[in-house]
Amino acid sequence: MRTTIELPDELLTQAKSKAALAGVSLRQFFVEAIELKLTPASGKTRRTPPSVGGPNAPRLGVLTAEQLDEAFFG
Amino acid sequence: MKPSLDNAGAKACLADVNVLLALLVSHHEHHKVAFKWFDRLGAGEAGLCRWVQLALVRLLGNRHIMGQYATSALEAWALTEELQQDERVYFLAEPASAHTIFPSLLHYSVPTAKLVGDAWLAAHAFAARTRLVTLDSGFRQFKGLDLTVLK
Repeated sequence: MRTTIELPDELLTQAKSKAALAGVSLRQFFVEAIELKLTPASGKTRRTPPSVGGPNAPRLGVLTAEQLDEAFFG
Repeated sequence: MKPSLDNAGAKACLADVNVLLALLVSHHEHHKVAFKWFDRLGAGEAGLCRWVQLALVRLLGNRHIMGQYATSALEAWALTEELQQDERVYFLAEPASAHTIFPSLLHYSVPTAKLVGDAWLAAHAFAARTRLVTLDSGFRQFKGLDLTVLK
């Protein structure tokens, strides 16, 4: 269905920019935005992040380039 | 291509792997810093990209890094998926323009694989016009990058 709505210039500019960045058409961008708005709460909630490790483990610091290289490619 | 940014004031960000590793690993020396950062976020403000997600899976499963707390790849993947169930976290797909920005960032004195990864993450942040949050001050080498280095 085709419809016509009036949008603030700035909003349309931002929408065009975001759509271009995402590589989607303006039409697709608006469809997804409206779907998001019409969808009840995503079900996501604020929660405690999952956790691994323990208090007795050796302290882990910011990984060095060498550590990352070893982890990824070693 | 010269990257540029115009998202001053935007709260959303792309989280670096070191920040999320510190958030997830309770014995990480920057766990409290990462937790404090995360605690202050609003809904949809922490971007997780695929590159960071896969890096987390590799790191969490690496015995040299995680020792006795190393997880299986499946467990690590589940942790990253669970993290995305938090309202503060959203998946930030790579904009197509990251591909064209990336080569312009490949100017290093030390060409390590890690720096290539950093350049890709920086290109992603540039392309998404979002702020990169990290614990690694090395990202300051990418001039013009909207950057927060947690301390």
